Amino acid sequence: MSAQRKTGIDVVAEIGWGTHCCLFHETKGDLLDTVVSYCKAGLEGHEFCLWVVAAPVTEEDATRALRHVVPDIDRHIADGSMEIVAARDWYLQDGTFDLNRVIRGWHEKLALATARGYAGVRVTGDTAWLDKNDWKDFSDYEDSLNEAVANQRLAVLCTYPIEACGAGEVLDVVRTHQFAIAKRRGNWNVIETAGHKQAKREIEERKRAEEALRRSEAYLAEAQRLSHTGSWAFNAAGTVYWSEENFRIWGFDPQQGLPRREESIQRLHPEDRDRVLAEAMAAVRDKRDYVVEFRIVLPDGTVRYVHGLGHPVFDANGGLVEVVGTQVDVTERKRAEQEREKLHQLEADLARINRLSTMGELTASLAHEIRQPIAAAVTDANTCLRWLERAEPDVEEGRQAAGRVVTDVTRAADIISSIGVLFKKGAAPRERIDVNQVIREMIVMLRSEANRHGISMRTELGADLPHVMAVRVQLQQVLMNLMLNGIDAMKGASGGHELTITSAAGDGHLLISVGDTGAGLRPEHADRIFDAFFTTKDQGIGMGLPISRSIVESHGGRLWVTANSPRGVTFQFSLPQAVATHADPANELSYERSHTKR
Amino acid sequence: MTMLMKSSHVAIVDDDDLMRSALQGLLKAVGLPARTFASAEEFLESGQLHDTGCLIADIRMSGMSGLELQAKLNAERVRIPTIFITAHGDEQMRMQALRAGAVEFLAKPFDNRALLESVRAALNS
Repeated sequence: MSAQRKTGIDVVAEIGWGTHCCLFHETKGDLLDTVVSYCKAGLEGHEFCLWVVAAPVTEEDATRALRHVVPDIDRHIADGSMEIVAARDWYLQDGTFDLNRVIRGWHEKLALATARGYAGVRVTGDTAWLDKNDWKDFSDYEDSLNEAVANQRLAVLCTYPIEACGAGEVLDVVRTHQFAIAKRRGNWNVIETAGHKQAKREIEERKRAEEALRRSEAYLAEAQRLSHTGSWAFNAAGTVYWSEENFRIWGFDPQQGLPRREESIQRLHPEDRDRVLAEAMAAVRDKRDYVVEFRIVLPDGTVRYVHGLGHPVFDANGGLVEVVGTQVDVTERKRAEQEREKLHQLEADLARINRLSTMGELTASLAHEIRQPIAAAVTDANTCLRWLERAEPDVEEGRQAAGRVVTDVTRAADIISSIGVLFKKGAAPRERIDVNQVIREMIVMLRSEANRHGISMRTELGADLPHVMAVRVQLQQVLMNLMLNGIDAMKGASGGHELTITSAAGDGHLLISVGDTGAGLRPEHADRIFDAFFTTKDQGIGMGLPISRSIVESHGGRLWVTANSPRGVTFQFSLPQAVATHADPANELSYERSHTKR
Repeated sequence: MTMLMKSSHVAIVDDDDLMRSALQGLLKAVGLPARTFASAEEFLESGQLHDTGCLIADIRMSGMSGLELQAKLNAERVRIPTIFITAHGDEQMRMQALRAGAVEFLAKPFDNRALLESVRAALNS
């Protein structure tokens, strides 16, 4: 209900409850016009109106004048909304004026009106009955009235005939009222006093405070909407408060009012319901805050993920006052997490597929590598039998042949186990690795592939290199990818081609390079070769280099490419060296040079 | 073994050490002396071409391949009965080798008796 009331008086328009003002009028007509308009506005605002009349205005004059603007005035008089009394009956009971009795009378009227459901009490009192002897007492009354109406649902308009007031009286009246309305030169004017200005300022301030509060509420609602954060409070009696965003998260209509407790519990995911309720109850019992993650299911089946925080509030005696909390809709974040997980899985699968297809390309040459020792074993076993099946068995020759069988079969087994490692799924733990050993293994694996294309492989491996901490299969894969890339770049071209693999120790890291003498890299491709699915090859899905780079980077190293002069490219990568587990006396580097093929 | 041979030596050219030893061991068990070479180039430079009655060669080797060796010998009119053994020979390669005068083309792992028969036939030719 607004504190501002329409006055019905054009020059004032609105006043607040607690207003005590005065009107100076020249004629009876002016008085009636103004006061009936004042009463009409009061009746329309569902206020209890009281008009104290004094000669020359009679109760009949007042009723008649009111009837002109309020046609059903008799009904208002009959039901008690409008009361018209004579000044002698109101101010001068027992023929005397008693300040306290009159003020008590206003308050009684107010109590009655409030009990009957009126918005407040609107009073207008005519002072035409006053004579000079009463002036002092009445002036004291007017003074006291300001305090008596303050903060009450009371508004009082005192009317004075201007011709009855001398300058001294006018000053008294103006001083004791918040403002004065006076007719001068045919126009109504408002004369404000300091008290009224103060009241107006307070109203302005309240308005500003309300405005600031509204803005602050709007910003809070906006912040909640942006951060998908709802807030709530409940006590023993039930839900006390839900923010707008909380309604949105739970899919309830704010117009329908706060949802009942059972309604919101119903929307908790059945698998989460018991856990959430138990957690909240345990937190209240243990007098502590709680955090709980759960899902809610909307009537249309939509599932939302919610991150909830609860804070029980207790009174001085440890009794539960209420529980307040927030709920953040983390559905989007959850979805993103799930997508990211899927992507990781996809990357892992792709890496494995790439490895498998790389292995597929290698199968032919690996088959050759394996057939070689098996063929030798068959022949050696056959030879062994021949020596033993003689009329006079030659055991020594048979033993030598059998010894060669052991060597043959061991080589076949070594080749098979080196393939097996590459096919294993899942990341193996990091271990201390001698990079040179891995390089040598890869050279054994790829030798026949290089030979097939007339490519020789050369190594320049630093001696006594520090170890690195790495996942062996991943390091093997990086080397295999780079070496196969080099071979691919050179195969089909004429002339003696060479793949050079080097290793060296740097400052805190190892540097490994794989260089070829192939066609080189077109400048426009240099930036893109590490992009996923970029490939310059007819066959291949373009994942080899990005995977290699991500493996190297996951080990804390870098992988890059440089052009060779006069032709070819060199891929280089660094790996941080493992922290030495024992003192390493010799850090001096020497190079072992080996030419696996010439 | 009782036969007298014009050039009794067998040459084995293979870049795989295990295979060379196995072939040499087999021939030794049947009384046939054999010399081994790790590459075609090594054989060509050995100065023993005319002393060789039978050549057993791998096809795919680093450097000069077995077929290139055969072509080189043909070009130099050095006629040595040649047996090829290979771990991944296809029909096209086999036909190419036989057209160029190879006496046998065997896939690894190969039948030892078939190899020995071919070697004996080559030495007797």
